[in-house]
Amino acid sequence: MNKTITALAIGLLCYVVNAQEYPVAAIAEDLKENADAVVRLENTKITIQDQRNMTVDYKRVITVLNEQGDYDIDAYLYYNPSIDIQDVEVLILDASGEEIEKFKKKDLGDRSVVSGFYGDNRVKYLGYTATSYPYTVVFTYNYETSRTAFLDSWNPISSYYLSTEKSEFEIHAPANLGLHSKESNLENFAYDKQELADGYTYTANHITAIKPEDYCPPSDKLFPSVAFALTKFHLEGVDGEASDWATFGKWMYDNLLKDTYDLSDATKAKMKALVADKSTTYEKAKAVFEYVQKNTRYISIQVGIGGWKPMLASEVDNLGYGDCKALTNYTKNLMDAAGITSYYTVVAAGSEKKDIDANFTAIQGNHIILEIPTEEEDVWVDCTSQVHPFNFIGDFTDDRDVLVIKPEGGEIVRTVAFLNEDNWQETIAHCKIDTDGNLIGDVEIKTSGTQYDNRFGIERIDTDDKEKYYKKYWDNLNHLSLNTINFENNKDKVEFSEKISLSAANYLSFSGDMGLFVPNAFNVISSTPDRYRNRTTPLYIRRGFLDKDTYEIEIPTGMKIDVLPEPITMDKEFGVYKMSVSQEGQKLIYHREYGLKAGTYPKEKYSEFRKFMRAVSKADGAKIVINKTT
Amino acid sequence: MKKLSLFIFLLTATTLFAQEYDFGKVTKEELEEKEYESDPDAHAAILQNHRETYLVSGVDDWKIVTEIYKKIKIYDKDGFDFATEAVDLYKNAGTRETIRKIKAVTYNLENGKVVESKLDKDQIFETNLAYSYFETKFTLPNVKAGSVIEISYEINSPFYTNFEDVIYQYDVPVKKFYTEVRVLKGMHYKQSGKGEGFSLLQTSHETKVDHRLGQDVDVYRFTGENIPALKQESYVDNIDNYRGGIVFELDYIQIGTYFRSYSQTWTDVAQRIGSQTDYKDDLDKARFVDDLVDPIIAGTTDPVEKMNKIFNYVKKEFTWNELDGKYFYNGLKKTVKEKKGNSGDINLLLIVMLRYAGIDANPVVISTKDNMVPLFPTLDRLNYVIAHAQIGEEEFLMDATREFSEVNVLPVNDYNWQGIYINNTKLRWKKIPLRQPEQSFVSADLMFTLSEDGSAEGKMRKIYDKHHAMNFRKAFKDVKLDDYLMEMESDYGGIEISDYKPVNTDASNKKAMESFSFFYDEAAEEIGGKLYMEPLVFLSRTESPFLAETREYPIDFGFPYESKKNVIVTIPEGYVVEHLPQSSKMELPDGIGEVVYLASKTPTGFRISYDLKINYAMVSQPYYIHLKDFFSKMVEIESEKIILSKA
Repeated sequence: MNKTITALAIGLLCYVVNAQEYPVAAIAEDLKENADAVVRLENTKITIQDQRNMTVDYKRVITVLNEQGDYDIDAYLYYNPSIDIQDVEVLILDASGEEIEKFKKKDLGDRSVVSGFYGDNRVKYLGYTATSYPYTVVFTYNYETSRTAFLDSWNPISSYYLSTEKSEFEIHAPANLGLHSKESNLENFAYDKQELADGYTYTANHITAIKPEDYCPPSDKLFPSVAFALTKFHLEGVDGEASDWATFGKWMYDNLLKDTYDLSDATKAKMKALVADKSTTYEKAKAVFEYVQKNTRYISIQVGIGGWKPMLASEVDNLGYGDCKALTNYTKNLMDAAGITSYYTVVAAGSEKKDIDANFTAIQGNHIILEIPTEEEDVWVDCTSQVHPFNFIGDFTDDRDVLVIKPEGGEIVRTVAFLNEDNWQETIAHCKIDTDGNLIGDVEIKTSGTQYDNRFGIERIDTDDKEKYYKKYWDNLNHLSLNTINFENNKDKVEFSEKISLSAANYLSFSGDMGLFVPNAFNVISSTPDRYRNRTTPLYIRRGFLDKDTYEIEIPTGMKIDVLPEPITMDKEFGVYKMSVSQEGQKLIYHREYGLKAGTYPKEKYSEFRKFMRAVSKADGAKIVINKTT
Repeated sequence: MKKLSLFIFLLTATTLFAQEYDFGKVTKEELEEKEYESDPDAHAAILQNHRETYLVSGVDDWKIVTEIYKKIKIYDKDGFDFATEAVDLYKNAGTRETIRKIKAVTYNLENGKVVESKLDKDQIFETNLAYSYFETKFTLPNVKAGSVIEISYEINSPFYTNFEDVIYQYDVPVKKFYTEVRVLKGMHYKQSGKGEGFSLLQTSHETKVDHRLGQDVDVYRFTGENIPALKQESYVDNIDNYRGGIVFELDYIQIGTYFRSYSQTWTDVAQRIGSQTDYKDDLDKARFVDDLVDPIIAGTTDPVEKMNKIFNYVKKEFTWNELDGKYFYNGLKKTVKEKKGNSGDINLLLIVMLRYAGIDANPVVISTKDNMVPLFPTLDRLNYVIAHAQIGEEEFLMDATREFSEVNVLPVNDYNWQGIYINNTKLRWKKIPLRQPEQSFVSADLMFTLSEDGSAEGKMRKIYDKHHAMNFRKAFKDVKLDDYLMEMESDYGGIEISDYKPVNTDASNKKAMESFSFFYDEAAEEIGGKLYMEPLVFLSRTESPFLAETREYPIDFGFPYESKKNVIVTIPEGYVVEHLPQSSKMELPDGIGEVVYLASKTPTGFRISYDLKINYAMVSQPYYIHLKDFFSKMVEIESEKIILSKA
């Protein structure tokens, strides 16, 4: 009896001491600066027992300082049938560190997370409405899984406006499984690393919050992180081995792809017939790709190993749909039938370029494309798009290292790049201003490269939406009416042309006998990036491009030119701008050239860049004064 | 209810009426069709939508069966979404809705021949979404531009008092529409059509004998042809208010001598809500609020002051969990303990506290904007409750869920049609209008000195009242001050702000204010030795919000408002005002709104003032053309330059 009471008392005592471990008052002042929340402790412990057994213990204590900080709580536990949740719990503490609420496994929300059409991934999450700030959330879980193909990484900074008191990471694996790691952005970051006999530990303390800036690099190029992978791993019932990309590619081919190429003889014969009259590999491949575009659509179904293994080619043939794996693999099988060699290729897709790291062998990437070597060049296609031209992948997968899977093994290869001037736009206009000040004329916009990618979709939207699109695009033109809109999509040259005949009432603004107008009617930059008293990140321009504009503008009869803007030429390492206006009788010829060059420039360049952009927006708004001739 | 229902409802046979569709009958013409005749932009069209709803007896209870058949034409790739069918189903602890007899076929024309592809059973997926909902989903095989698909299935629901709305208007056109609803004679459903297309529907009603049972059934039929696609527009209160549909609600049952009413008039509805325990006993028996209220009103005698204090207390201390509700979610005790709850918890608690303070406070039950306008007296369609107080002759409305709402300044979402006032003590139930709030006010005063290089240095002050104050306070609180200022600097054309002073950013029922000094290096443009400046400088309207040529639905401004701008400029030494725009006034028809521009010279420069009034929160569609013109002219007026030249 006495014993029980003592035990209980000690238990209580421990509990109280424990609960008050995280009073808000203990947070250092500098960690509250720019912070919506403070991670008091993040502790991840990964123990890999063998190729098919792994335990993950996780604890995150976070103090939320204000409403925006609610988004940093991150109390989500994603799971699927191969993950066995042992325990998951959330405690809510008040500002003094006293527990005010407790959520056990059954109290947490649970819902399906499907990124495509269907999948078996789910998430457990905290549904909590805070009543006052600050408060603290203690999130703990541990689970067991056979899925050792994916290991959590160490991310001591996970978000902007978030500071951290302590971040600890520990990973253990038997030596024969070949644990390896990849460190990113650790150069200017204070941390402690221990190499253990069977793994690593990483620790970092007192990390202040950072703020995002205009034209700053994406977070994966900025935030410190360490990723891990095993040479011998397990994935949904399949053992895998990957000491380098060659063996990993071979494993993928043998286990995930090889037995899916089962097209029927009829379909194979259809492909042979389809390319029979084509002479070059390029033309043959184009015919097969266009067949796929016409006969399939993208639907994603990801269950179990199906998240990594494509559906059978015959199944795609029957259903007429599939996800990126299924459609690409199906296309490859059709190419085989037509006698064309092509390769299933893993890529990290997104308009932000991201490489499959040549020096870090692990399952990476989020998308599949197809490589087709031809006589002249390596052709790349995205089989999930029914609208992109053959041999044009746009900015979603261009210019990055990808993993090409060949039957004999994997290879890291770089995709085609659309660089600065490749992404051009040319705007040509012929117009006049009538005596009432209305602008009337014809405009043609031609685009290529990533600018083609940005614009060629306009052709397919509703008439109403087209009108809205152009009214938004030319929001500098008040009272815009569109008379005709015509498109020409040259898929072979990857050139899109928009021909618009339009009028804009009151383009000329009268101030008494004087009229003012902006000669740059059709391509105006009007915003300037933010000013920073202390720029902390490099200047980053994600995509380069080049715009050229030539407008011929006739001024009303009975009016003459008073003042023309001075010509401008700026040529900087990050961009160019040229503008000039010349006069031929009642006609003005306006020339403009504006382009940025992709790249990462030192942070000192930012203020020069901002000056440049200000000058551009000022020059784009430069006005011409005309007078009534009396 | 369960036993009773067995007695009341009787079987209506499913085979009583011939079905008007023929699964599998897809013609070559349908497959060859390239576009929808009256809407060539349509990516897909519903060629036929056939639906029958009726009651049947289940194993131990009744259920509603709905049979659905659709034939859909896919014109191009952007119509592929219509080849995926997702059916959301509901379950509770004891029972669930089920879907069965799923049949789906795609038809394509290949080399002049019609080729069928059937849906494979293992391509049907069920997902447990969250809480009580799950979803059955499938997508048809071999869908291509030009395909025609057929889908049919049957939903069985044990929740037989809930008739789902019949929707007949979609985002694509519908060629043929047919819905049949069969109920036992004696079960009276209110039906109401909504949306523009309702006039296109033909309705018929007949009473027939189910010969097998010797019972009468009421058959309601709705047929329609060529129903246009629902257009999407901005500034719409809730698009579903305009979507064509038929709404059903059980009104009363009268079979033989049995009678039970469900809802008839708004008074009935009010009494029914009023008789729920949440509204009846709980509002007066909550003694535990006494200790809460006493310190708040200690020393206060004026009832209006008491009300304000209690309202501010509830707003400040209690957090809304973002859930709507006319009933309690937590209940009063738990709400007080946890300091949070849904709209029912918070606003009913407010009423309880006001009553304890001796104020005549009562609930007003409403349907919020995002919940659509109720079409006839109905309980189910009301989703929210706010508080009403009467002090002497004066009436006050309050919603304490939002931190920055005020007495008589409710969140915009609350102003929808009207509310049901429920006064159980005085046995008074009535409708009160909630059409629009009072006019909200905002002003901007700008005073600066212009330099020869076109830059300006000066001060600005903004004042916000009512809804403008509510929006400002929310925006101000939601972001860090640094970011707020940065955002404002860039919204105002790149000005540089210093000495920023906000006033009353937390207090409500008072005007909010902000003032600051600024430097703007592009206030005027130097061209050929003259300075050109826009009259409202960085406060100019650069784009009209109404760009579309035509409009389908009313325009929702949220609240009526007045916006004033004053600009006082000292011009550089040695310059004179060469051109100043003329003062002008524009009016919208029928007192909807007006704008006045005044421009005048002063000894040191000039002064511009602008006063815009929009007098209604909601403006009906025929006025669109006037609004479009009005806003577009404002853009024009605000772009006419002031010219300064050297003397």
